[in-house]
Amino acid sequence: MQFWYGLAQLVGVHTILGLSAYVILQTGQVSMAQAGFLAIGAYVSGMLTTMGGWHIVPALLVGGVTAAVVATIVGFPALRVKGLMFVVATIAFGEAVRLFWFNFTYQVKQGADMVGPVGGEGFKQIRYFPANGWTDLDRALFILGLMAIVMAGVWWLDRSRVGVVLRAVGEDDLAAQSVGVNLTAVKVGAFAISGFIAGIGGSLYSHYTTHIEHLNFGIVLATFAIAYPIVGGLHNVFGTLAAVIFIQGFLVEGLRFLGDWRNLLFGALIVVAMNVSPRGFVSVYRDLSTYWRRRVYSGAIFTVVLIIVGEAAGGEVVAFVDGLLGRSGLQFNHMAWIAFLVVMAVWSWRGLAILIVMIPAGLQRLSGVLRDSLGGSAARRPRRTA
Amino acid sequence: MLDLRALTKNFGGVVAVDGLDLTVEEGKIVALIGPNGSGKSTTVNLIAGIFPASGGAITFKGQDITDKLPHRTLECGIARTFQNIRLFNELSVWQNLWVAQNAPETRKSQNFLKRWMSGSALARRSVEEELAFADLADKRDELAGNLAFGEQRRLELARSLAAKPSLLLLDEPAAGMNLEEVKALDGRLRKLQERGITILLVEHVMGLVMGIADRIAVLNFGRKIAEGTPTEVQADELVREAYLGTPDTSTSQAAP
Repeated sequence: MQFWYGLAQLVGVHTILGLSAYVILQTGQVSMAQAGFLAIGAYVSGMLTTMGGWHIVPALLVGGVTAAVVATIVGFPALRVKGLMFVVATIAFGEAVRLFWFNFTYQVKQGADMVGPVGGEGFKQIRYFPANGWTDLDRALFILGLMAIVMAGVWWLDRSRVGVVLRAVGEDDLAAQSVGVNLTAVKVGAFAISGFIAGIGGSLYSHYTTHIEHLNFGIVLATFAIAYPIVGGLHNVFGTLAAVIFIQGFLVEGLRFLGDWRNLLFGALIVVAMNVSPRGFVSVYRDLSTYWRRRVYSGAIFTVVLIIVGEAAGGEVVAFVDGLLGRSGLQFNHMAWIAFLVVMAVWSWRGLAILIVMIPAGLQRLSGVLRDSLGGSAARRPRRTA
Repeated sequence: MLDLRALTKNFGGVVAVDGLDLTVEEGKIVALIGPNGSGKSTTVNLIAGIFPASGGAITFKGQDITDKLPHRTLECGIARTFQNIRLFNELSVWQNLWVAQNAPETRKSQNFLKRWMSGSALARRSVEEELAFADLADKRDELAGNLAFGEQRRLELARSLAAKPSLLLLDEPAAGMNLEEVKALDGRLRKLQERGITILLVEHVMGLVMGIADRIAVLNFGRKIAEGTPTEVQADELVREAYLGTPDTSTSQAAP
């Protein structure tokens, strides 16, 4: 259960991060600054609750507002450039924020301890949740609740004229300007809103991890932030949630057992996801041809049936399969995921390509397993032949 | 209403518009014609504020608008269409008009929140009116990118009208249209004139221009070589030489 609470919190924070990127992506700007805004929110609210003794709700609002103010200040010069130059500018900003926290040390005495961020060592004493007796369930519900509020807010914004204008700017900013849209105001406004949302996400992040350091807020996180809405689709906020669940739940956590294979599969599966639904997960049903629908659904059903059968048959089947798999380090549940991939793979050339990409890693893994079993303990051999 | 005084625009060493003087009187349809590359579209872009002028001044309703950005000139009451259609293709027809709600008149009728959230009934009604005017009422929920070419032209016109302009800059609105569509456009422009909208028309389709324009200015190499009523311009030797060619081209399309 611990694991699921942890995953729920992770999904909540990353969805908020993805939604912050969603807002600015609507204007056609690819912003790599979201991790920077997340860091600002994380540190500011962490300091407020830990060192200032604030309640978390005002602390996360202040964290969000601080990030929004920084976004506004940065937005005026940054949004004068477009496209790739904007990407470069925001990467520079994100790194600047990260390095600021790398060099930032400010501690106060609290009882016998010194608390506060210490440069490269990070900020280790954010104990608001445990200190106030919040259970894991409380935390997960709080974070998911805030995620729901942010999502509802962005959804509402999206459906109002704001969303229409943002999309118009994203499609053709010159035409939008020619029908009376003040480009600077709209772009900086969108940037500020996205900063505010990311700041709130950062506040939640620092409080559930309890320990943050500058390395958490690098380019990788910024890339994830824009990957969520792009993979999920820019037509609907729910796509971002779906993409976070897909990437964090399935690709990162679900495939953790694959070890070396995971990184390989990670990229390949994102490519597959983009191929299956080029306009994002939200429109996946519309985009799927019946050809692909059959494969995805049958693969999913196959996997679920496998898991159910495995669970229903109880320990024996699982133990039997685990025994068969032996030293490969794999377990029954993992086989279900692999089966899903294979079912997907054997039915199309795209899947076949993934299998081919996987072959080198697979061979490496297999040879390791073989070497282990052949050169392994003699005591194991009789059982295998029996 | 609109005054251009010695308007000049250089692109590097190329002089696109060279000391252009032009006056557009209120309620009139003024056409700007001339060969390709003579600076007509540049003039429109300068008035709309797409790029700054290199010299000269633009005055609109007694107000200097030379260096104003496009959204500011629109607030003054100048709307425009583009030579190559520029719609928001992923937005619906209705949403395309909904973007163009920043004109002072609409602003006055609704407060800030209302303007950015749902919009007042008045603003919504004006969107519906312009859709009906452009014969697009039944297509209001379709994506702009899925419309046929003629419909896209009409939608662009409706979008600029949704901004409640007093001066409309039309950059080749009849390009690519067949005769029937040109006729419909002709009728629409006359209706706009009845509504009191002044029009500056850049066009190559002489059949349309000669029939509808109150005054015509002819550009060549960024300079105005003639100005007058359609009959005067057609009789002008310089114009024939530079653009119109033989006398009877006024009834068909000019050679590109």
